[in-house]
Amino acid sequence: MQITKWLLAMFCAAGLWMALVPAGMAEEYEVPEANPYSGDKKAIRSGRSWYRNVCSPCHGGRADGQGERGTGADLRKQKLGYKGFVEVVLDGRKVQGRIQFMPGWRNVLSMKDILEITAYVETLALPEANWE
Amino acid sequence: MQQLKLKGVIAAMALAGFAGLAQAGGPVTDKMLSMDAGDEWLHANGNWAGHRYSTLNQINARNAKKLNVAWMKSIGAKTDTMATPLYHDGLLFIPQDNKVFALSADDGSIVWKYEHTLPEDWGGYNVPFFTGKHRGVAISGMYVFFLSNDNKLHALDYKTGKAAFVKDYQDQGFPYPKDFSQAGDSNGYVSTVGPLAIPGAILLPMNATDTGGLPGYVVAANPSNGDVMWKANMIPGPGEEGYDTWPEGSHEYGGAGPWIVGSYDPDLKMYFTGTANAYEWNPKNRGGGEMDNVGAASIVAVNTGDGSVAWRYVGVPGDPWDYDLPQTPLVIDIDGKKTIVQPNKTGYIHHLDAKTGKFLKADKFIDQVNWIKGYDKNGRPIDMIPLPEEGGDPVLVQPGLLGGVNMYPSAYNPKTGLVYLPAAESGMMYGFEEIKIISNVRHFGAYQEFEWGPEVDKAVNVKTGEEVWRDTQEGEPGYAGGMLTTAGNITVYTTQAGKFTVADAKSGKILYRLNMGGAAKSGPMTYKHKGKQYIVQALGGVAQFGRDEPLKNEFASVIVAFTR
Ligand code: HEC
Repeated sequence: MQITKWLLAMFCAAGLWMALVPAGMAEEYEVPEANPYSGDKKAIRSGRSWYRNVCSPCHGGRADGQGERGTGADLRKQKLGYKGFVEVVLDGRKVQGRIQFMPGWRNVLSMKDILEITAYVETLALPEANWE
Repeated sequence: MQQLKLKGVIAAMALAGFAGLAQAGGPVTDKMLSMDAGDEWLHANGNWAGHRYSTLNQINARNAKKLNVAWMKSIGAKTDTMATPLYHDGLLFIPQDNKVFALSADDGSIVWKYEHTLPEDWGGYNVPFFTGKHRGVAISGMYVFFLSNDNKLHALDYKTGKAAFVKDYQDQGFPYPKDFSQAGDSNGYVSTVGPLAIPGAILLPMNATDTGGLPGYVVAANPSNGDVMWKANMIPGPGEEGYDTWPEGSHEYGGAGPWIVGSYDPDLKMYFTGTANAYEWNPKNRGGGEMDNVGAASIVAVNTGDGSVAWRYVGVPGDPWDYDLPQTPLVIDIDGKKTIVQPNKTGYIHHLDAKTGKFLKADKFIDQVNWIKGYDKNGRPIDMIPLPEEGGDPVLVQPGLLGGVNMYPSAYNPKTGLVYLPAAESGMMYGFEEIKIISNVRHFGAYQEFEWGPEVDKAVNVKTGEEVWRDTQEGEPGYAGGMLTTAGNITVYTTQAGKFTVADAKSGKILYRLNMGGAAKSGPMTYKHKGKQYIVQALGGVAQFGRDEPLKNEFASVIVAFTR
């Protein structure tokens, strides 16, 4: 009786723990020094599919900032550098005085998905973009 | 003393009675709700039939050039202002950012403000896009009825803003969408469309279409406590006609939310609504565009007695283009026949018999349409273009998915017989991808790139389908915020670039234009207060859908009242 109760309590605590710690472990979201998928055709294809499903509503199919769901930035011109780009995608960014914002994707997409999306967006870069 | 007091009371009562006549103070009765807009504006769309027509004529085609700004007021909007305010008893009511404001009709000052806080775990697919937007409130009896984004019905005393009740419909099968990182199942309903007040019920459109595709319902709520009286399913259930136009299991995430405030006919006792696109946008799980998916991209008529569906007409069978049929179906008497007239994304104005849903005709109203060649006599598209291949190249589709008209409301003037459209020439490059799933939420599996033409505001003869006038905003893509028309032979709209415009309703001649410097995403309204007619336009939001460059406008939020 005691033991079953204890087990139950442990079980619940574990359940709670699982609920609080999202899908991936924290280290999964360490940003590598360089994008391992940069230029990788298969990864770019997969990143494009993710991009078109989850990013294009706000940033537009061309990544020019003309989404049908509001004003995302023009990602072809992006000036943040590779690491800066990934960091915004992970943690999002609020827009001063607006409800619409850039949502964060940490614990939603895997790091692999995010790096693949990044590799795809890199292929759309305009000359002034910074992917260093 | 006693005597005096009594006299005072009688005098006060008499005065109140008189004021009641002049200002229609006190509770809003069914009788008042049944009338065309005049001194008061009691429905988001002016009347039950959705006409956005006012019988007022103090401001008219002869004197409109002498309009003046009476007052301006900011409600500090943080996203698009999409609601047309209501006017009753000296107050204007407007929802924004999950708040409701009551403004004084004298000077726009805030009389009361009601604030609702969304739940902590609010979030999910496309949800930042919807958050804070509202397309109107309803008023009935002593209460303003407000549907917050998380689908709660708030009954607010119209004089004080105090909530008599707040009703949550989560346990009725209407969860709100949750933040992806906090939920295993983030699917949910988001309310941006306002309720409609009819005798004995407040009708609530429950829409989850682009937040994961849970199926749409119209819910009738009891005005005294919010209790559900019935739920009408937009997608046919087992045994209903059209059930078999969906593959097994696809009904569950088929979308088809009742999309934009519906209209009501008191004789037929029917509620008419357009419905959202079928879900997912990529049709591979719901027949690949080969099955009709009745109920989505449709016009649906609901019997308001018991919530049974009287008929469904599908305007875009198998909808592969995100072509919902937004816009309030207008109820118009044409040659003695009660007709549903709905301009929509397809580029056509659909005419249906209001009683039976029988297709009558579809008139093309924009220049560029390539997705079909027209509609046949049964209301089915002729020669639809082939669908793009998943993962292949995108195809050119006209109109684009924002449509020939979007949800920005049209108006109908019974005196001119013209319907006024906030239209646009548009197109898109459109393609399919595999359907990605996050936290149990199925994403679109489709994407698009805009190919814009200009905004074109226009008048179409409802009977003949002929265009009577147009006002093209060259180089300015987008839609006007919505149309208003009056017995004073004027039609009023504000272009998306922010040009407040009063046109001669018959000829389209522009009588008054003021650049307000910010985007309009709501229709204007009019009312009479202390003997004077006002026209109100709420401005607010981001020009376009992510495209402010051509319009050279930044975010704005202000409500402007005009008078003469
Ligand atoms: C709900 C709409 C929305 C979605 C979905 C969205 N974004 Fe954004 N994003 C925005 C907005 C709005 C901004 C602009 C923020 C600002 O103005 O500071 C932005 C900004 C960005 C930036 C910063 C650009 C710069 O130059 O400063 C990056 C990078 C970005 N988004 C990438 C993405 C990627 C990749 C995805 C898909 C995984 C995505 N976004 C999905 C709305 C969105």
